[in-house]
Amino acid sequence: MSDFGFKIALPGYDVKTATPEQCSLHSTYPHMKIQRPTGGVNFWNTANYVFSSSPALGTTTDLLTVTHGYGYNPASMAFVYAVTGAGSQFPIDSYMCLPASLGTGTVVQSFRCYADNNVFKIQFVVAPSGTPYDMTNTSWTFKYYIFVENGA
Amino acid sequence: MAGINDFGVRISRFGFDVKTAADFQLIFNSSWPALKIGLQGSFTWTAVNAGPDLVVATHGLGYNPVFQVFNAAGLPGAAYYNNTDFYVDNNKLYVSGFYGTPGNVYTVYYYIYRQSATQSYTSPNVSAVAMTSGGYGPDYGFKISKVGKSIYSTDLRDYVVHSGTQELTIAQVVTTNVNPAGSWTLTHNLGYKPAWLFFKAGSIANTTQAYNSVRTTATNSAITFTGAQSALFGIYSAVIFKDPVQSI
Repeated sequence: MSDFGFKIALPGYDVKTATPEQCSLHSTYPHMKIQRPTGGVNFWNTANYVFSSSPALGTTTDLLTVTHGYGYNPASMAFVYAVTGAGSQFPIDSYMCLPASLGTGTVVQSFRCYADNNVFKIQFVVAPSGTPYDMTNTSWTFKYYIFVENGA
Repeated sequence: MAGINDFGVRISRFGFDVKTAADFQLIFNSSWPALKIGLQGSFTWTAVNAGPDLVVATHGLGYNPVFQVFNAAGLPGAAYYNNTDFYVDNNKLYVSGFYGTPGNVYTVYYYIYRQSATQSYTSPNVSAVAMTSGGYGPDYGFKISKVGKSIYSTDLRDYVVHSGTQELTIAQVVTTNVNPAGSWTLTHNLGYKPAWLFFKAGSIANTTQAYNSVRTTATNSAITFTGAQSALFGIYSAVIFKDPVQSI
C-alpha cells in the first residue's frame, strides 16, 4: 500500500516525510465529500423557512426535504441561522449546529436534521408539554451538507 | 519568500475559474487540509444504567483527533449527527455509559479524522469574493480512487477525492481556556460567517468531547461561541471551515 499513491504536503512540509496530518492530500485517507448539484438536487446549499404559524405541542414539522436518492443513509449535518430570531430563546443573527434547541433548560422546541436512504430532512420538533415560543413569522436560514459517505 | 499563490495545486468546483474562485468554491487547495478520514465504521451496543464507558473504536493516533458520530438508530431508518456523549483520547473513541435508555440497542457510525482537535492550526486566507459559475463541461476533472476501487466507479464513496464533489476544508483549529466563565471570540478573517465543529475537554483527563450546545454570532472576521445552556468554562476547541453558513 505504501508503494504507490499520491501525496501533497501542506506548505512548509517535505512531502517525502510529511505525516498524513501534514498533507493536504494523502491518497490513503479519503476525504469527506459532497456531490455537486446533480439532476436538480443540491447536496450542499442554503434554504430559508418562515413559520406561518407556531407548531403545536407534540408535533414534528418538516421544514426542508431534499431527495438524495442514494439508497443508503448518508452522513449529514446542518446549521440553523436566526434571521429574525426567537427573542432570547434564539437571538437574532446567531446560529447553531443541529440538533439545536431554543432556550435553556428543558427542551421544548428544537431543530434537527437526519437522512434516511432516500431523503434528507430538517425538522422542527415540539415536545408534548411545556411552554413553547410563538414561532409565527419567525424567519430562519439553513445551511446543510449531505455527504457522499455513509452515516449508517 | 514565496506566497501561497506562487505554487501548489488548486481544483475549483465544477464551473468556477480556479484562478478567481473564492476559497469555498475550491474543492481542493494544497495550502490547507480537508477532513481526511483516518478511520470509519459502525458500533452497536445495548445501553445500561450508568454503566462503564465503552470503547467505540481504537484509532491509535497518539493525539486527540477531530471526530464525528452519526446516530444510525435514533430515528427509524435514519442517520443524524450525534453530538453528545462521545469523546476521544489519544488512542480511542468512547461512548458514555450514561448514553441512552437502559436496555435499548443503539448503533452509531463514526468518523475519526487525521486532524488534531487540540493542536492549533491556521491556514492562509485567499479571496472570499464569490465568483459566478462559468458553466464548464463535465468532460474533464480530477479523481483518485481508493485502493482496490476502480477509477471508473460511479459510486463516489469509492474515491479519495473527486472533482465532481465538494469538500469541507479546514481554515483553523483553535484551542483555548475560557476562564473565567463566559463566551469565546476568535478571529478568522475569512470574509464570511463560517461553519464549524466544536469540542470541549472531557471530564476525564486528556480527553476531548464533542460539544454542540453552543450558539454562535459572527462577523466576516470573527466568531463568538456562547454556551447555549450555560456559560462556557474550561478548555474548548473549534474547527473552523472555509464555508459560509449563509449565501454570499
